[in-house]
Amino acid sequence: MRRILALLLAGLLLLPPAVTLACGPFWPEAIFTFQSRPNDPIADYARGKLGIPQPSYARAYLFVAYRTLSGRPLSPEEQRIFLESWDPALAAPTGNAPLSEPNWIKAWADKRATLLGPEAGKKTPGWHDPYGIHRWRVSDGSSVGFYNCLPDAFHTAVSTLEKRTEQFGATSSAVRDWLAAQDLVFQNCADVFDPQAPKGPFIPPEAPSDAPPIIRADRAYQTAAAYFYAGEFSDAATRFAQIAKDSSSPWQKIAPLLVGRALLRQATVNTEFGKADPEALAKAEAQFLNVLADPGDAELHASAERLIAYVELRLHPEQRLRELAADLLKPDGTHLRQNLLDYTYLLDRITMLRQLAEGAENTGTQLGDRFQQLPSARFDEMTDWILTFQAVGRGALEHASSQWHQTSSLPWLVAALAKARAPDPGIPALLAEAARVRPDSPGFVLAAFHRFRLLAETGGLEEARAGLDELLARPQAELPRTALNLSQALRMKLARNLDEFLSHAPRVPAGVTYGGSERYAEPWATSESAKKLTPGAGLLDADAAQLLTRRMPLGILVRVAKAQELPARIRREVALASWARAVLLKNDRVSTELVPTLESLAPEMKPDLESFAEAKTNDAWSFAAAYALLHFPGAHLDIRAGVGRETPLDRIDSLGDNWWCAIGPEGDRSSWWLVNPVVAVRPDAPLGILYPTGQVDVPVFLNASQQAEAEAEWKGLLSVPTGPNALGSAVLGWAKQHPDDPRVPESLHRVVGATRYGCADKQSGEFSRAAFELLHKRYPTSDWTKKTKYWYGSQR
Amino acid sequence: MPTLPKVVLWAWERPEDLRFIDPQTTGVAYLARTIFLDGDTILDRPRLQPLWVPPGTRLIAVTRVETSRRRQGPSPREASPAPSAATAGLVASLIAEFGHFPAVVGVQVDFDATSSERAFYRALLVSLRQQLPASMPLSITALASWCQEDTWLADLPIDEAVPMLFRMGAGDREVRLRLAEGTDFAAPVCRKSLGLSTDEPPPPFRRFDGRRVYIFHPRPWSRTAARKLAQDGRP
Repeated sequence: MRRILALLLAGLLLLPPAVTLACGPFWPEAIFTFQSRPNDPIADYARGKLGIPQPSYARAYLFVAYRTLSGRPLSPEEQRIFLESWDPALAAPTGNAPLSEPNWIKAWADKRATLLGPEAGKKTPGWHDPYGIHRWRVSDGSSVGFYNCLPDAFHTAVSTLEKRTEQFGATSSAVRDWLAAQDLVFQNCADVFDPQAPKGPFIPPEAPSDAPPIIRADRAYQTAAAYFYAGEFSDAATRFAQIAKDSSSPWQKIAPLLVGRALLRQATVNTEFGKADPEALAKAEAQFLNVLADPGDAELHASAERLIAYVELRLHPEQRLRELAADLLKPDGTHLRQNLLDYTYLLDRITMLRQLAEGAENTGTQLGDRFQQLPSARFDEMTDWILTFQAVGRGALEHASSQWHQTSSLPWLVAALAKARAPDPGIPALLAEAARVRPDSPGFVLAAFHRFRLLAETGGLEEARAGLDELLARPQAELPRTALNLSQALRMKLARNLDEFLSHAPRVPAGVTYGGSERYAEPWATSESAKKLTPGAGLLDADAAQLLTRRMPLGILVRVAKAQELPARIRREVALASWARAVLLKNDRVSTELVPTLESLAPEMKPDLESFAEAKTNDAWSFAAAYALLHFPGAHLDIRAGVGRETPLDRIDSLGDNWWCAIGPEGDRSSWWLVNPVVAVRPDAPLGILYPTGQVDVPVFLNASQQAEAEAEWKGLLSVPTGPNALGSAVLGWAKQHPDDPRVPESLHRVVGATRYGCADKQSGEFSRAAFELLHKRYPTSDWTKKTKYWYGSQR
Repeated sequence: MPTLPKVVLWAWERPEDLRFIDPQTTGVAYLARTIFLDGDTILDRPRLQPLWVPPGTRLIAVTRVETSRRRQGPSPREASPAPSAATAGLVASLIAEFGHFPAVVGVQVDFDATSSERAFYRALLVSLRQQLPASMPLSITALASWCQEDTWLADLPIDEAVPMLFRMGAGDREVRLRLAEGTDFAAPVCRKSLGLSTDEPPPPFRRFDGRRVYIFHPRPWSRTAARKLAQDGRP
């Protein structure tokens, strides 16, 4: 049965990794520790400031880590090439081969125009991008593109045309005839989609018998090229081979290389998709080796070498992988760019194709338990190290430990440390060796972090705390931002008291993304979001946010809100959520105590808070709180990680982030389509190494009474209705009892607004209608009534 | 769009081996090209990764159009200058190529349009409709918010707008609430299909019986993933 095929062939071109579907609208998301790449500036990483590399880093970054850890740091020249060839924001190669300068496709069109006039010159050989003109390989329904005519072809055409013009004159029949033939050659570059248009191949006619010999030689070359671009590779190879024998042809020298290129395309384009024809590849390789063996073809040797590398990549991928790894370890940046592209491409391909064959669910970067099935041992040491460092599971730890015992090398030590989890019996030996890694070692931070993590996991809490304090006290220049944040996260987890917790909860993000992906992340320091905050002020990462939201009682939250050492943004976030919680849980003491703090942190709330503080009865108190909250759609019950809500507190957020949603029964999966935004904040990777369950633990500094208090309050919050309903209920209750209160019409108007812009549910429509009807019935002349033209909810 | 299958797997730009699917019931929407636009500068990238599907599979050629938001202006939130109508026509002609591909039974355009870019995308789709064979279905992916609130989809010359019910970002909960409550999309063109991902919860399906379901998988597709999909009862 014929399989549908598709095949990659793009000259020597490789694509970046898969693009992820992304949808707007876009909102800022702070990144405290990158998963796929080091933080900016990447130059620091390339220089050897590794910090704490993650298993999920792109392999090119792990190559740099291995070189550095194994005592072979990148030279300044290699650093330069690495930085130029690897897009730090994309964590991916910067696309294809470097763009040719000048743009030879355009130069060709311009040259034609000078000879034939601007109108004729407008004719282009097809749609092109800076890398050339591509065609589609279509077979039984599947299709894939490949670059057919590359810029060099147009460079050659321009150069030849200039020579022939100089030789015969621009208006000579020889040049006109040559030009017409060349147009036909390039007509094969692109697909023909017009059903009425001739499909090709477009082959130039034979040169007139009285044409000058060089024009006839050109025609033979043009004809071979036309077959080549038309995909008739066998004919092309035969014709180039004939030219190679013609000592009178100016194309004789290059023809052997072109024979090889025709064979190469035959091997990769006209074949079963994804499976290059090994026999044809071998023929192409032999041809390139012949070119390389001929000292007379010296100027073609560099091209032949590149093409041999291309063939080897496909013909003997694992052998080529070893060769590339060996080359990449040499302190010579000459071929670093291409070698690294080929190396990472091969690793991606080998691991991905293996997983495809196995039906495995693991991606190329997280090998998971498939580690055992990847015969990493047959690879070179660097590849083995990279695959092991990326892998998770017991097999990875056993292999890394075994390699460390055999080699006693730093790369394998840190790999084993990074894989180890308590209660592995090998941990004491690892800890002892990790303690010997000197501060001037490039692996110091990595080894230290995992040493302290393992100490904490195995009961050495005091030693871990002391070590982390020492690490965090080192000059900031020694610790990349992501390493600092991860170390602080570990130290926060080990906090013995609230002060320690508060010291390590705020962290300065490493980057910010507006598309939900690291792909589009930009450095935090220069971001628009950072400019809205005090310079250098920290924010909360998911671990601290979850802990404050889920584990802390109001009594502690009040202390957090008052903690002068915390950035004002965090204090305001905590104060506002705590006050809203206290109000909803009817905790008079806390809500009153928080008023002065909240007034200082959110002065715009002062009039409402004063009114709240003056309330004499429970009902008045509830209404005053609802009245205040209705003025501030930015009030919510959870303490948020990252940038949080950027819309001013008293403004409606156009993306619907107003007041709060009901938390609902925790763990209830009956409506799992609805993701609970409060409990959805999880300390995922890279923090996940500290919180394997995805949940933060109860802080050790909370006593039993405080823990019970926190649990009781959380239980109370689970039954708090969604914002519009809670506020609607309080306002309607008060309005019925106090129809003359001048705040009532405004409150009813705002309740209707909350049901439109807030987190509404099925019941919200009832509150919306009730508020609307009461407003219109009782206060028909109020300005608030005039502003309230609709109620909301029937569409839900 | 009777020629399109009811279940369609999205195959993104990575090696994808989908030979295990039943071509009678399942189609493949494969990323065929990505077009990057920075103002009127076009960078067109064809698919360069292998795709395997069984003979007879109905294919939908997807073109992803991305406009540059990175390092543009003082804030990434600000859109780049919208490309011109001439560029819209040129991009449409590139996408229209797929209308002539064997086994391609539909063309889909995947894009994120800011408000200021809508005129451009409207021009693109109008031009594309004119250039495609009349019988070739034209589909787009659509933010759920477009389907629920916006009216700009209403007069687009498209056969289908696939509401993307994953990676919804800020409007996630609002959309989920509405769908859970049974509220259908306001735009009729959005009521023919759903776009889901295997790593996010789907909406209650019984409410949407009969709609075409497009499914994204964040990793290469595997028989295991497809089997799990079937076990989970989705679609």
